[in-house]
Amino acid sequence: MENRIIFLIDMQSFYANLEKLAHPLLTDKPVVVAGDPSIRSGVILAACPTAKSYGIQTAEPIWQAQNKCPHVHILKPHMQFYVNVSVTISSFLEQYSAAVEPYSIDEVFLELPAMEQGKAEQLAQHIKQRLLREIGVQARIGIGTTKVYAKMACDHFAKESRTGTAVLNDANAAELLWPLPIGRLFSVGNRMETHLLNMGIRTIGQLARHPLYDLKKRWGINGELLWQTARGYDTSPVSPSTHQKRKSIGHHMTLPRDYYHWSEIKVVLRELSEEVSRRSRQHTSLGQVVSIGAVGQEYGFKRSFHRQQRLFEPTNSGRVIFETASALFKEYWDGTPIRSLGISLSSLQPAHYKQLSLFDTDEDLDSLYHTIDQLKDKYGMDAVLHASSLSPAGQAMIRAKKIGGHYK
Amino acid sequence: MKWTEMEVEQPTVMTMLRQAVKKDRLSHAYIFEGMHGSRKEEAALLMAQSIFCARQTEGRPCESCVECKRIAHGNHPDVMFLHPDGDSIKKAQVEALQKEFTYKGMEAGTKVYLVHQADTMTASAGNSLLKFLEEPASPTMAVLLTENAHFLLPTIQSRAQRISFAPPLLSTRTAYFQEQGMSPASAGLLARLPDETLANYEEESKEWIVQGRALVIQLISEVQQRPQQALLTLQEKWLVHFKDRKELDIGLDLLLFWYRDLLSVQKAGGEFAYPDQMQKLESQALSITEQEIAASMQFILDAKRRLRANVNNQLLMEQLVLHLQEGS
Amino acid sequence: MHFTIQRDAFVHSVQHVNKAVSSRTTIPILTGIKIEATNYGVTLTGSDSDISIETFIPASDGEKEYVTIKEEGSIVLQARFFAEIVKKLPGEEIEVAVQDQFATTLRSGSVVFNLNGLDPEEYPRLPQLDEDNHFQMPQNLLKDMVRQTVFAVSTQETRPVLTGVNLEGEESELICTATDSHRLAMRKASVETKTGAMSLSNVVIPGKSLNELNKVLEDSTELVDIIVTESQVLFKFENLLFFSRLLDGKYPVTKNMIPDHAKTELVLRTKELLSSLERALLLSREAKNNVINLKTMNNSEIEVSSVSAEVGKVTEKISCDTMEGEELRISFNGKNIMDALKVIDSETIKIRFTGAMSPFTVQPTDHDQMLHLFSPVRTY
Repeated sequence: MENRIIFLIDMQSFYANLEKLAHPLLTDKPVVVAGDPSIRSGVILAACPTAKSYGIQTAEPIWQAQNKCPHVHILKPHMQFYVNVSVTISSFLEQYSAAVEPYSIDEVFLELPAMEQGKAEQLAQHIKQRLLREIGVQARIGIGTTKVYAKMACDHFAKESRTGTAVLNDANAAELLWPLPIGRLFSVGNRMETHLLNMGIRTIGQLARHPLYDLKKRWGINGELLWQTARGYDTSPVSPSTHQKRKSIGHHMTLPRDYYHWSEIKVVLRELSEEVSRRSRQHTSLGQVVSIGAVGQEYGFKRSFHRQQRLFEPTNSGRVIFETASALFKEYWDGTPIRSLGISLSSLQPAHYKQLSLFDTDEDLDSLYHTIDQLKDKYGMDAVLHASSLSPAGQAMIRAKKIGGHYK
Repeated sequence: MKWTEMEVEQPTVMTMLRQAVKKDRLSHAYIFEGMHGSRKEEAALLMAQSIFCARQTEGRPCESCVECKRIAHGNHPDVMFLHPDGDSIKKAQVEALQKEFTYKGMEAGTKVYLVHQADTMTASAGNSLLKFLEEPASPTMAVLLTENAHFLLPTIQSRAQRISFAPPLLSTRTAYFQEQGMSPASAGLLARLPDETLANYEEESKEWIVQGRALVIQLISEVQQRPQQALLTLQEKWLVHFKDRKELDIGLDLLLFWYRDLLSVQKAGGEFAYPDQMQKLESQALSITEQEIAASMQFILDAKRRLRANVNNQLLMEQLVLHLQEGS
Repeated sequence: MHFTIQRDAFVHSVQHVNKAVSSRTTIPILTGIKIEATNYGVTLTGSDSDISIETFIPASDGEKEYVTIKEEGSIVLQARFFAEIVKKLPGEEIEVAVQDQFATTLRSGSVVFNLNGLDPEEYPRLPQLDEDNHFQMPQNLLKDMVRQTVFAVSTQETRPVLTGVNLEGEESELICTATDSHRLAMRKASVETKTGAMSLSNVVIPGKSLNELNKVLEDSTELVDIIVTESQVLFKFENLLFFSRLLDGKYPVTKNMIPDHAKTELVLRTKELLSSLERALLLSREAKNNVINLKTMNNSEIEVSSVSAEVGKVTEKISCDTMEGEELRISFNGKNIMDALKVIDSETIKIRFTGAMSPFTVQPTDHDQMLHLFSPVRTY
C-alpha cells in the first residue's frame, strides 16, 4: 500500500492566542482564558505560552494561577469567535486537499497526496507560516502515515521540536515512540494505564510487542485497537463526514498587498463567492449559512472579524453568496486595511432537489453555471472570469497559475 | 411660535425649507446635518408639520391645529420617528421601519420618516432605507438627522439633499454654563459639547467633565514626552473615566478641542477651549507642524467614526495614542 | 360627553375593538380606545395602525334601549385598563362622563372610577366611506375566499407585496390571488356592485389582516359591504367596521402564468390523494424537503412515492377516474399540494400538467371559480 501523508495540525494555546489577537497590547503578557474570571475558583480553560512559562496549567483554578503569576491577565472566553476561526481554518486548509477533518476545535486532520517525506516537512512549514501570517494562529503539525501517528507525532514530538513539526512512521516509531511510557499512548486513560502497568507493560514498545491474542482475550475488540494504536495501525480515512461539525465549503485568499477600498475588496469577495459556489456545485451541495472572515492590519496590529448570516433558503449561487457576504462585510468592516479574506458556506444539504419558481426561471442561470464549471475544469480556473477580476485588485488570474504551479 | 424662533436661529435653513413647502418642491430625502444644539430636530418636526398643516401660511405651519399637535405629540400615524435605542438603531427598530415601508399610509397622503442620529444605523438598515428611497411606491419623505453627514453611507449621501445647520453661538452657550456655576475653563468645554450627551449627566457632569479635562491635558503631555506612560494612563485612568462608548465619544471631543486650540495658537487667534493652558499650548505649537496637527485631528475623527463600528474601546484608544505619537 | 349604556352591550363591543389594540405600538394615542357619543349611539374604535375595528351601539334598535345620551362628545381611554374595568363593573348600566382636561368618570352601581383620558382629536382618522369601489357579498362566501387563498401568501419579507392577497375586480367579478412564488391560489366570485361597474387592481391586503378578519367573519349568508379606498380596505358589517391598511408596491401579474393547455390531465378523488400525500410526507418530512414523486402508470393509475435516505421509501398506487395525455414523471413539494387540497371542497379534482419542469394546476371539478398553481421540484 502506498504511504499516506496525514497532518494533524494543532493550534497552540488556541483560545488564549485568539484573545491576544483581539487585544494586541497583551501580546507579550501572560494571558489565560477562564470560565468566569470574577469567580476565583473558576477554572483556566487555556493559557498562553507566556503564562505557561510561569507554571500555569490548563484546568487549574484561577486562584492557583494567580499565586504563580499575580499579574496574569484573565479573560472571558468568546466561544463563537473561536468556532468561527476554527471554521475559517478548516476552509483555509481545503486549498491543500479536500480531505479535511476537524478533530476538535483546535485540531484538524489533513490528508495529502503521497509525497516524499522531505517535501511533506517543507509543506508543513509552509502551512504553519501561512496560518500565522494570514489567520494569526500558531500551529504545530504532526506528520504521520496514519492518523494515530500524526496525532502522537504532534502531541509528543512537535511540541519539543524547534520547527514545531515532527514526523512519525513505521521507520522511526521503534526508535522514538516505543520508549515512551505507556500512559502517553493515544487513547490510554488513567484506568487503562493502571491495568497495563499491572500486566508489566510500562512502555509503548512493550505493548506493541505484546502478543495480540492476550490483549484480545482480556479486552476483546478494544484490546486489538489498543495494540494497533501502539503499532501505528489505523486505516480510518481523513474524511469530512466522520465529524459532524465539518459541514462547510470555503475559500480563503491572502492579498498581495493591503486593500484599502471597498471597490478593491468587492472584486476579491466576488472571486471568493464564485469559487465557493463552484465547489458547492462540485459537491452537489446547497448551503444555508454564509460566513465571512477578514483579517486586517493597521499600525502593526492585527484585527480580524468573522461573521455569518443565515439565508431564507439554501443556495449555491455565487450571486447570492456574494450579496450576503458583501452585506456582512460592509456591516462589520471598520475601515482597517485588509490583508486576507475568506468566505464559506455551511449548514450544507444535498442539492438533489430544487424548488422551481413560478416567476423567474433560474433555468438559464443554472445552465450558465454548469457551462462555466465545465470550461474551468477543462481549460483552467482562469478560463472564465468576471470582468472585475481583470482589474488590478483581481486575484483570480494570478492564483489560477500559482496554485497550479505549486501543488499540481 | 417655534418656527419664528427657529427663523432667528437658523435663518438660511428655515427660509430654504419654507420656500420648498410653499412651492411644493420638497425632495423625498433630506440629510439635516448640524451640531447638537443646532436644533435640527425641531426644524425637522416643523417641516413635517408644515407638510400636513391645514392652515399653513407661506410655508409656515400654524403649530396649533390638530395635525400640528398630533405630529408634535408623536400621534400622527403617517409620521414615523426613529430614535436610536441605546448606542445604535436596533434591528427590531429597523424591522419595524422596513415593515412600515411595505404598507400604505394610514390616512393616505404623504408618509414622513424622521430618523434621529441616522449615523447609528447599521449598514443593512441604511441599505434597506436606501432601497426604499430609490423606489418609493407612495409619496414619502425621509429626513435623516446627523452631526456629520460623512458618517452616512456614501450611497445615501448622494441620493439625499443635504441641509447644513449653522452651529449654535459658542459665546451664548459658554455664558449659559458660567451662569450655571461652572468655572470659565469648564464652561468653555461644556459649551462645545453636544446638548444631548450633557442632558444625561446634569449635576455629576460638572465634576466629571473637570476630571475628564484634566485627563486630556495629562494624556496629551504624556503622548509628547513619555510615550510608555501614555499607554498606562489609558489603561488605568482614561478608560476608567470614559467608560462606555458615549463617554469615550465625549473624551475624543475633548481631545479634538485641544488640537483645534493648537491650530488656533499657530494661526494666532480664535476662541480657545483650554484658555487656561495657553503656556502648554504655545510651547507645543512650536514643536508641531500644521500638517501634523491636521493629521492628528484626522486620526481623532477616524477614531470617532470607528467608535460607531463596534470597535473595542481599549484597542481604539491604544491605536489612536500610537497614531498621535507618530504625528507629534 | 355624557351617557349611560347597557353594560353587556358595552362589554361586548369593547372586547371587539380591543382585539385591534396592541401594547407594542409606537404611536401613544393608539394605546387607547376611542369612544364617541352622538344622538344615534356610541361608537368605539381600536387600532394598531395596521388594522382598525370600529363598533357601533345604537341608542335603540326598536325593541330595546341601549344608550341614553345626555351630551354628545368623545374621549380616548387607555385600553388596557378600560377593557378590564368595564368587564368587572357590578351594575347593569354604566355611566360615562367626561369633565375638563379629558378626566373621565365611569360609574356603575356604587363604584366610581376616575380615569385620565387622551385628546380624541389626536386619534387617527379612518377613511371616509368612498362610494367608488363598493361591493357586497355574503359573509360565508368571503370567509371561504379568505380561507382558500390566504394560506398561500409568502411569509418572507424579501418580497413584501407577496405577503398579501391581491384583489382584482372587473364588472361584477372579484378575483383573489395569493402566491409565495412556489405556489399560487386563485379564487373568483361574482359580487353585487353598489356603484355600477367595479374596477379594482393592485389592491393588496396583508395576509395578517385577513387572518384577523377571519375571526370576525361568521358562517352566515348575511351580506358584508366591502369598500376599497386609496390606502385602506373596509369590511362593513352590521354595527362593526373592520379596516385594514393596504400593502404598497406592485403585485406581479399572475394571469399569464396560468397555462392554457395540458399535456397530461388527471381526474381523481380529493380525499384519496390527500391521504396518500399525508402518508408519503411521513418520509419526506424526515428529509426536510417534502419532495413527493408522481408517475403515471398504465391502466389509469398513478404512483406516488417518497424517499428518505435514512428511513426508507414509500410507494402507493392510486387509480384515477380519468387519465389523458402523455406519460409523466414529476416531483413537487407535497406539503404545498396538501395545503391546497385541504381548501378544495369538491369531491374530485382535475390536475393538468404541462411537463416535468413546468407549472401545473389543480382545480375542483364541480366549478371553475378556483385554481391552484404549482411549480415543480427539479431532481438531480
